[in-house]
Amino acid sequence: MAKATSMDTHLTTPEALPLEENAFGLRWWLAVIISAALVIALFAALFYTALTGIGVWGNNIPFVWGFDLANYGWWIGMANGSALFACLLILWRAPMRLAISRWAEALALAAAICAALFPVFHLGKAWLSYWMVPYPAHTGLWPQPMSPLTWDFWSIFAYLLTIASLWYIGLIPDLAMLRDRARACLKQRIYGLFALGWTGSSRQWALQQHCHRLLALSVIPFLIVMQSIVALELAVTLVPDWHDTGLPVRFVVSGFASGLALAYFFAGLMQSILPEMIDVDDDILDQIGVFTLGAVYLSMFVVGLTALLEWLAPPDSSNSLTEWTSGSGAVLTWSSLFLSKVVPQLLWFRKIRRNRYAAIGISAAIASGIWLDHLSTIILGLAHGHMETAGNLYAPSIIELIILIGTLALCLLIMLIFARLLPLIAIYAANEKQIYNQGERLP
Amino acid sequence: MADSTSPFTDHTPKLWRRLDELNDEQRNITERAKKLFPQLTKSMLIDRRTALRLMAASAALAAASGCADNSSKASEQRMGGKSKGPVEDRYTLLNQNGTAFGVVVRTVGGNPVKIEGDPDHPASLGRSNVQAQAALLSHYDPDRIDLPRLGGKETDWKKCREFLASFSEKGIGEGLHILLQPTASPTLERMIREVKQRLPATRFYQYRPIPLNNIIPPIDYQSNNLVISFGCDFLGAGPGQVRHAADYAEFRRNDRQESKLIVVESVPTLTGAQADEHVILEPRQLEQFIQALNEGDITNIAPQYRDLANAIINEPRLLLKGNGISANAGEIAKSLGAVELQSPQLFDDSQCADISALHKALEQDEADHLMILGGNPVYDAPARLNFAQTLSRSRVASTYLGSEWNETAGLCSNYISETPELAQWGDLRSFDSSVGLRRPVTSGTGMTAIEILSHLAGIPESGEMLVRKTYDAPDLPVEQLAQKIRSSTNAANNMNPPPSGKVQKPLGIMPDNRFALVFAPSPHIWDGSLANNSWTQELPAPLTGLAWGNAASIAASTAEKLGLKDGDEIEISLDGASIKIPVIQLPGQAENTLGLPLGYGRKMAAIGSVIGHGVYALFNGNFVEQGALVTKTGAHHDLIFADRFMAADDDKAVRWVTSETEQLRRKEEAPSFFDPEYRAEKQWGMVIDLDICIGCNACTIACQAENNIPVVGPEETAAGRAMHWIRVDRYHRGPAENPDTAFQPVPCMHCELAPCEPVCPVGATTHSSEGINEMTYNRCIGTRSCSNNCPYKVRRFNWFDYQAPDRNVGMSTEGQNPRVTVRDRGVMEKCTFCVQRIEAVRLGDDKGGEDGMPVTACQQTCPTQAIIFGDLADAQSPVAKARAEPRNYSLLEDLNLKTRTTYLAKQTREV
Amino acid sequence: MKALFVAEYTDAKAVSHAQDKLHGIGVDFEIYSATPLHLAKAHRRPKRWLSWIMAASVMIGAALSIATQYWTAQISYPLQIGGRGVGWPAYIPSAIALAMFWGALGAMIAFFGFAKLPRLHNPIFDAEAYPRIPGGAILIAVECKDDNAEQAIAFLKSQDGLQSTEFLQAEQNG
Repeated sequence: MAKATSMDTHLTTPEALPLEENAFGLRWWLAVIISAALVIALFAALFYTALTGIGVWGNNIPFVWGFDLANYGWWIGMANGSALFACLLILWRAPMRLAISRWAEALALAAAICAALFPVFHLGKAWLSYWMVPYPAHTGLWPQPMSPLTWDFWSIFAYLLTIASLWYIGLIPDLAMLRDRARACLKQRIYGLFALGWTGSSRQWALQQHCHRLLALSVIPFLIVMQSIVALELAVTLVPDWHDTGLPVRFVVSGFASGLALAYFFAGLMQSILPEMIDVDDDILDQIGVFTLGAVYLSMFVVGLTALLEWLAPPDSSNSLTEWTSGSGAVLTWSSLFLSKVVPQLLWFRKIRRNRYAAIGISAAIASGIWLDHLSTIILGLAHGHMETAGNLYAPSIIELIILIGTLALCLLIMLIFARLLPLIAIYAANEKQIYNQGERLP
Repeated sequence: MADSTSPFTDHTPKLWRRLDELNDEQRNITERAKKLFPQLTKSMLIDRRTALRLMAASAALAAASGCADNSSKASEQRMGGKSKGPVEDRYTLLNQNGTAFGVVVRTVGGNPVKIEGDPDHPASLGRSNVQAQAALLSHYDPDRIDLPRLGGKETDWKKCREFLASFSEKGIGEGLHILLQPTASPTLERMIREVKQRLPATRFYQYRPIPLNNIIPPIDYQSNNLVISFGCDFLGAGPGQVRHAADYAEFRRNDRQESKLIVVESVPTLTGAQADEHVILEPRQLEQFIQALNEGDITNIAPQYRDLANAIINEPRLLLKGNGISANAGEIAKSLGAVELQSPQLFDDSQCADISALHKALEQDEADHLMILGGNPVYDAPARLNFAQTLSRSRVASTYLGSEWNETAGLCSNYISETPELAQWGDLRSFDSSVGLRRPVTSGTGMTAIEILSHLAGIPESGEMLVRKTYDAPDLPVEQLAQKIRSSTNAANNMNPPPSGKVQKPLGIMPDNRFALVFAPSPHIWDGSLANNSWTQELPAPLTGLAWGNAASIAASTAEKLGLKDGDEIEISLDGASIKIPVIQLPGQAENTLGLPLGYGRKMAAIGSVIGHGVYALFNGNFVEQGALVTKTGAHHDLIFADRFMAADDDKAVRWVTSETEQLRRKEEAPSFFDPEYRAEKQWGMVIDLDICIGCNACTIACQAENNIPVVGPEETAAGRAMHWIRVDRYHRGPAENPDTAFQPVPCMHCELAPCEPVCPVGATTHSSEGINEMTYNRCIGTRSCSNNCPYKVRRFNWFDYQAPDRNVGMSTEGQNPRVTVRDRGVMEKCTFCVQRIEAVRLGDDKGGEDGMPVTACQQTCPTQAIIFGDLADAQSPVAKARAEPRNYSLLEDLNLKTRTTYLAKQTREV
Repeated sequence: MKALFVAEYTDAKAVSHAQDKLHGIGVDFEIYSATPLHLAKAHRRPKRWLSWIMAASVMIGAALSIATQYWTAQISYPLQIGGRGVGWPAYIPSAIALAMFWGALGAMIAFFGFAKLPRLHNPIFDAEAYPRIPGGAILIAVECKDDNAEQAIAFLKSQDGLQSTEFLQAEQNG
């Protein structure tokens, strides 16, 4: 039965605390410096675009959208996948949640921040993006609610705040712990401020746990809505290849695959950069790998179904299947399928799943495959309008490439700073695990 | 940088010239990068643009201090950023290839803002062509030089006049040679006589690459139901285009089933596109064809054309001959005995020798002073004369009168700037021989040819007095003077028809590897004189779709034989001269024939410098040449298309009906979820009759002028960012060797169920109560989703600040229409049905058309009046009647968007 | 003026047992720990309230969102948009997103309310044993205001696993 609890058990693993300076060695600094430099380049590129004009990108008529919307949809998918993962861990109280749910939430938040850059900076007049907000303007005008872009504004606004709340509610007890452990007065006050006076009373615990789960529940509909709205921005238009009710489903499931791949990638990466900081062992890598493979299969099913329906459709309605598989942009389609559907088959092998470098490589392949899927949806769709077949005449400019790479760096930088300032894993949950391991489940 | 051995050394501190040289260096880097990183070259282009823009801005700043006192320059009459002041419509004549084109110029505070045709002028009938519209932009040419230059130094007008007067004082004019551009002006003829009288030894020469008499007078279709054109592109660009198109449209509209147009040619033209029967033959075969017709023996004719040949032989017909056939073929056709229109002689050239005589005089050092009054012979003189070399080698002093600093100006020791066209006094004959008065509609400094000649003749006077004296009316008020000139007997009428062209050697049999060359003026920049006009440069050529450049057109089969794709460069050699030019395949072109558009490859034309490929090096005045050798060089040029929508997905976009009774119009409205409400009394709509659209592009450029549409430049055009609000789509039907060709102007359809509107998150595009799809520019934040959802792709986006002073290569501020908002960066724009004109009529500021209804810019300009606009709610309005016609249909009808712009189908003659 | 009796334990099982006993005695007490203790039957009511408040917020958010969209597009500044009238179906996606946001917001505010957060200072922070909580200490604090409290204190003092005890004189404002 119950083993005696030793008096001096130090439940909190000091490695998990972001206070220890020595935990952040050269590798952390190197990662921060590189990603910060790229983030500076990102903002330089964004402001250059805003000051000069969208013309510095490769867009034109009819390719009014390109990298901007592809990146946006992709980041939303990543945010969704990570958030789905985090929410399932919280709601199902899965065994590995304590290790991952915190940073999966943070990852979802970081990805959503990266995504949110695009709807603002892709505007011809980015500085007027606040016109999407319904505020009583002197013109008396309001946003136009029939537009999918208005839906998009609302959903990303709501999503960012909801996912941030989820993350914060989960973080409060750990902030209190940091407050209690802090020696420097200023540090104590700052953590104390954000801990809101958390005492750790049983009432607070009960409510916090419940609230955390409720918030996780409220995030679930977003996972469908967010990516669907991105897809609807395309699907509600008259562009023949986009005008497809299946598009939201395809985007949602491919988003899950890429989001889980992001989590898998991050787990592998953090294990390489900051192994002390994160409680990721090979078993967890293994499990995320299985999840990822499952999401890939879900996505394969939907893509296969879409292709089948296209193939069965009357041949004159739209030749998008032929266009996509043998047209000028077929290389996009095929490389997307290879990267996001064929490469992940390696995850069938346990040994590969448990290898952190394989995790990094395979998940990068999945994510870039899904990105190509977004890009080809936009470009190949626009290439084939009602009046014209423009061919593939869109090519991204160097500015667009900088922006894409910059958002990746931004996501990483957010995570690195997060690791430095706040616990990457839920400490209280880790302690709880230790209690469980030492004793039996409490009544 | 500047090549000192070239005759085109940089004589002038002009911005674009120097930047272009920079471009050349950059281009090589770009080419190299393109091979390595094809995806990234786009961004390099953009970086170059940015660099150029920054340089341009700094150059503008540096120049700002120096141009403060050039107040007379049109482009600097800034009036608080926007033209202000009284609106006035003023009448004058434009000089189009030496003949008159009557226009009415709208001025605001003295600045011209729009040119329309003069309803009372026989060449315009109130409509206009591309060149007439483009004259407005040329007026605001920022590269115009205001002051004369003597011996390379800028000087004032007083010194210039003294310099000119010195000739009349010096003696009899020995050694003075004057080369002028033949212009159908009675006063010019008088001044030549005056100079001859005063300085009898002066020698006059004339040259114009597209000859003045290369125009047929208005056609009388009354007694001719069968019109046969042998290479006569009377519907193509030129001073007669509008009148010919108007007459032709009238002829077709009234009698579609009875009338017939047969066009025989080698390289397709706009006239060929309208033909009921289109005979496409190589120049050599064409000669044989005419020969066979002449002999009445059709056995030698290709079987598919035999019936046609019989018809030509047996039916009464009107025969038109043009430059599209060889001179020899023209001679043979003479004896066909058909009713044949003779070109009138519009200019009395009895005093003037040919330019080849000038060449001889220069070679033999007979000339002391050469005066070139207009034109650009260094660029466009016959290739065999090698005029540039002759002039630069000769020790002759030279003076050039011109409106721009060009190749000829660069080689002449003195430069006299010509008075801006819209500020000139003069008189001009129209192509039907009637005379009219040219009078200034705005102010401008400079001299004209007649003024210079008057100085030489020792009777220096202003242009106005020179014209008045020609008509012996020194004191008449201007209106009466114009009246008097119009009714004056015209000397030209009594002139003999021009002597027939020299008979060329018969073409005979050509070796298989030889090619025929067919030259034609560019439909937009003409002989090259409009190269520095960005509106015409950016306008896509009607048949090739090329903008900012040219290419040799070639039959697809010939291209295949030579292993050529569009944009592949070839070298054409003829009689020792050679040029390099990319090719473009053209449907309906004869095999082994190259169509060569003149006018491109200018070396000193500001914006037009190094745009396209010059072909004058092969041009010797014959529009058809034989025996050229063609080799593939292996180089490739990226051709620039203003509109890249080449393949039609909708095979019902342009429809043909075989008789009037075929019903295309939907009897009932298709069912819909939505029922737009009509709140206003007037409901605007437009109908475009494709049957009489000749594809001349005048609507596109008229719209550009009316609506302050920016020019984006070659790089941006190549990137797919041209801004035209109304584009003319070209469709073909039938075999590539000889297809039917249709043109379809596509403005905004103003769909009642506009798909662009619901997708805008800020409500920047909405519907007016009168059925107009409106853009609220200052509400637009630039999401571009409206363009995504526009199936017609008529929306245009301001990717950059195209109207910013440092990058604007289009219209300057004072030439812009003050009634139309200038759009800034990041907003969407599109056709508004000229809402400013609708409002002006409503407010009583404009009278509108004959029925008091607003007239859109495209409608007003259309030479054939194929565009009908008005109130659909009034069943008696022309537009409502046109919409009720059985030929009426909507573009992409299946989308059920309830378009307010509809089309009338093309008609084919029933066989 | 109230006082707190604080008893320190490290064994969660002992705390669980004490909790049942204290409930039986009927005193106001609170348990402080570094991890959620999953104590049975505790705090069910505020948890249920939290769920209901969230459900209500979702409904209010959805209704408010639809109403706002209708009012801005049809009443405050009606525009002719593509010949369409009221775009009810088009209002749904934003409504879902905003309903969920309102739900999350409502749950979070309710949580703060029920958990009495933010309250930057709490009397328990003054307990000598408080800093030992991260190390695994579990504190039971009993409010000393009636006789039951004395009974409770007596019980706690007799519990196995007791590490330390102390009395806190809470300030009036604390």
